[in-house]
This record gives sequence, structure tokens and C-alpha cells, in this order.
Amino acid sequence: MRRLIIAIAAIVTLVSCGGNANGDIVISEQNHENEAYDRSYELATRVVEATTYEEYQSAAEKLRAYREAFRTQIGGQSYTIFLEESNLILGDI
Amino acid sequence: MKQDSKKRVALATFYTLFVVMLLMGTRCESRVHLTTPERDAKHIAELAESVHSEAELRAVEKLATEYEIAYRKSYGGAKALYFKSLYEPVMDEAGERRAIYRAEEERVAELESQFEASLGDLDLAWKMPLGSHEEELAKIAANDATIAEYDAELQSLVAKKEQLAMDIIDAGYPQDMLDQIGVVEKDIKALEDKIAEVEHTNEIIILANRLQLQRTLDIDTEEVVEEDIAE
Repeated sequence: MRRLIIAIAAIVTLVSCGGNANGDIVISEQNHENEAYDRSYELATRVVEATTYEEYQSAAEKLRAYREAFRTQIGGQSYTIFLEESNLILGDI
Repeated sequence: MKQDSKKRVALATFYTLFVVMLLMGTRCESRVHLTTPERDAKHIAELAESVHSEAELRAVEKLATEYEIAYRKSYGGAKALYFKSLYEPVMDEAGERRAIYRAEEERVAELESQFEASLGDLDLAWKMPLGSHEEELAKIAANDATIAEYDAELQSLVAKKEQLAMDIIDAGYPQDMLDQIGVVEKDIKALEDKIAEVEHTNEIIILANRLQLQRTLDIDTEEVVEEDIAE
């Protein structure tokens, strides 16, 4: 019985750690508007300043992941800000 | 004798249950249970306040209509009209609010598509196979020549359309000429799309050279240099 409990606890720990390792994005509920400005600038700049295709792909993937996080977790004005600011930088290239 | 009375009791019970079920059935058929016009209108108003999407608005409108019909059936037209006068302004407000949401949704959809288009362009540019500087310039020059061809064709179509428009006025708007101008307009749109596509290809070539090789393809400069040499 004890072994079973230990095994289950180990699985639960692994699963929860696995989630964090995947880099689940959590947008601050208090400061999401500022985060929208900061993250869009930082991530879109990384996309346009990439020097290799691999670097570009990784940056674009992260930008898309944050866009999705803003869309699903916050939405509204902050999501629009994230898109607008990203588009400004991406369109400037 | 005893069996007969048992049969009659069973039959009476069956018919009573049948009638009760019929009555319940007609009641269950309707989604609305009327209280007072004020209270029902308040219920509709509460639902209308939480409307965000077109589907939600339609659902509340449908429910309000069902209430109105139920009032008309149960109490006659006057009460139905009174109920309508109570809920209609609320529905108008919900409609206006929905229009604002729709405009915002359209704006966000446009921003999303711009976002994906930009990333798509960058992806294309990073993956584009590139040749020598001269080869890349030649690609752009070939595309520019194609654009010039399309543009000449476009100008002729625009002139044809203008002439047709004048002829249509003189002829008193006959249907066959209106159809003809419709075809020309379609051709113009198709050519404009083709031009935009080739221009976009050139933009991607320039971007690809810049991203992959930090190489600038300044075709205008090349042309200027060539003109200078010729002079």
C-alpha cells in the first residue's frame, strides 16, 4: 500500500514538474497591460533580429505562445495591445 | 360485476392520466412561463445585459418573441404590446452593444491576420533558396517586367471600363452593357491581385536576401548606375 502511495505521489510530482518544464505561460492578472507592451516589444524584436532560421523559429514560436496566452487568459484590451505592438515591430522589417 | 367495475376504474384512471399528460405536454412545449410583464421584461433585460455574441443576442431576441407570443395567446394583444414596450428598448441597447463588440472583433481579427501574415512572410523569406547577387537582381527585374506587362493590361482595361461607363449612360443602362462592365471590373480585380502577388514576391526576395545574407538588393540604385554608365 505504502509503495502504491509513493508511486502515485511520484507520478503526480512528475506530471506537475513536466507542466512547468514545458514553460506554461502565466500572465499577471494585475499587470497584464504593461506586460502586453513589454512582452510584445521584447519577443517581436527577438523575431526580427534573429540571425539564423532556428533562432527565428524559436522566437516566433515564443511570440505565438504569448499571443495565445494573452488571448486565452486575458483577452480584451491587453490582447489587442499585444497584437498591435507586435505588428508594429514585425511590419517594420 | 366486480370485474366490470374494476375495468371501469382502470379505464377512468387511464383517461384521467391521458388528459393530465396532454395538458402537461402543451405546457412543457412552451419554454416560457408567464409571470407579470414587468417581471418577464426584467428577466429579458438581465439576459440582454450579458449579451456578447451575435448568437447570444439572437437567443435572447427569440426568447423575448416567445414571451410576446405567449402573452398574445394568453392575455391578448394589449398585454403583449405592453410587454413589448418594456423589453424593446433593452433589446435595442443590446443590439448597439453587440455592434460595438462586432467592430472590436473585426479589428482584432484583422490584427491577428496581420500578425500571422508578417510571421508567414518572415518564414518564407528565411526558407527561400537564394542565388548570387546578380541572380537575385535578375529575379526582381523579371518580376518587375511582369508587373509592367500586367500594368499595361490594367490601364487598357481601366480605359475600356471608363468608355463602357459613358456608353452605358448614353444607352440608358441596358442590362447587357451592365453585365459587360461587370466582367471588365472582375478582370481588373484579377489583374490587381496578380500585380499585388508579384510585388509581394519581390518584397520576400528582398527580405530573404537581407535576413539570410545581410545583402541589400537595391534595384533602383542598380538602374541608376546603369543609366549613368549608358550616358
